[in-house]
Amino acid sequence: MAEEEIEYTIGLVRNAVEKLRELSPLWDMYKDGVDLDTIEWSTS
Amino acid sequence: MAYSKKVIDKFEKTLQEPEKHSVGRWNPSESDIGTGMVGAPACGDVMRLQIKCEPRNNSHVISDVKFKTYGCGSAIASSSELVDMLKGKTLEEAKEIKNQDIVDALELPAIKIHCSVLAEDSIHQAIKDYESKI
Repeated sequence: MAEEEIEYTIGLVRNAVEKLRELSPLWDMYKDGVDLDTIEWSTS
Repeated sequence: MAYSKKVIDKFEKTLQEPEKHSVGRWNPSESDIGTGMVGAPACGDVMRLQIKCEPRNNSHVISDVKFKTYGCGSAIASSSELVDMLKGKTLEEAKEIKNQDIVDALELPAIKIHCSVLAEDSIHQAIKDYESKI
C-alpha cells in the first residue's frame, strides 16, 4: 500500500471518529474528567 | 438486517450537521432544563436527552431540546427523531410519545427496537428531572 493511501485512510478514520465523538455523551464525560467506571448506569 | 432508508438518512444528516439536529448539551443544574441519561456503555448505547421548558397556560412547553447519543446508527437516528417530535409539545403531550411512534417514523428493523425503547426512557427521565425542579 502506498504511503499516500495510508495517509488518506488515516484522514478518513480521524474524521469519522471526530464526528462520532461530537455526538457522544461519554466523550463529554471523559473530557470533564469523569471516571466512567464509577457511574451507576441505568438500564431498561 | 438492513437499515431502512429513513434510518440511514436521519443518521447521516445528524452526523453531518449536528448543530442543526440539536446535538449539544446544557448545564443540567439550570432550573429550566430537564436531563435524562439512559443506557450503559456495556450494552452499547447511551443517550442523554435534555429538554428546555417554559411555563405556558397552566402547563409547561418544551421550547428546545438537545441530545447526545453513543451507539449504533439506529440509536442516533432514534434520539434525533425523538427530538423532532418533542419540540413545541407540552409535557403531557411528550409523555404520550411511545417507542412505537419512533419505530414507525424510522421503519426500524425488529432487532433495533431497543433503540426506540431507550429513546422513550430518555424523555420520561428528562421530564421527571424537570418536574422535580418545579
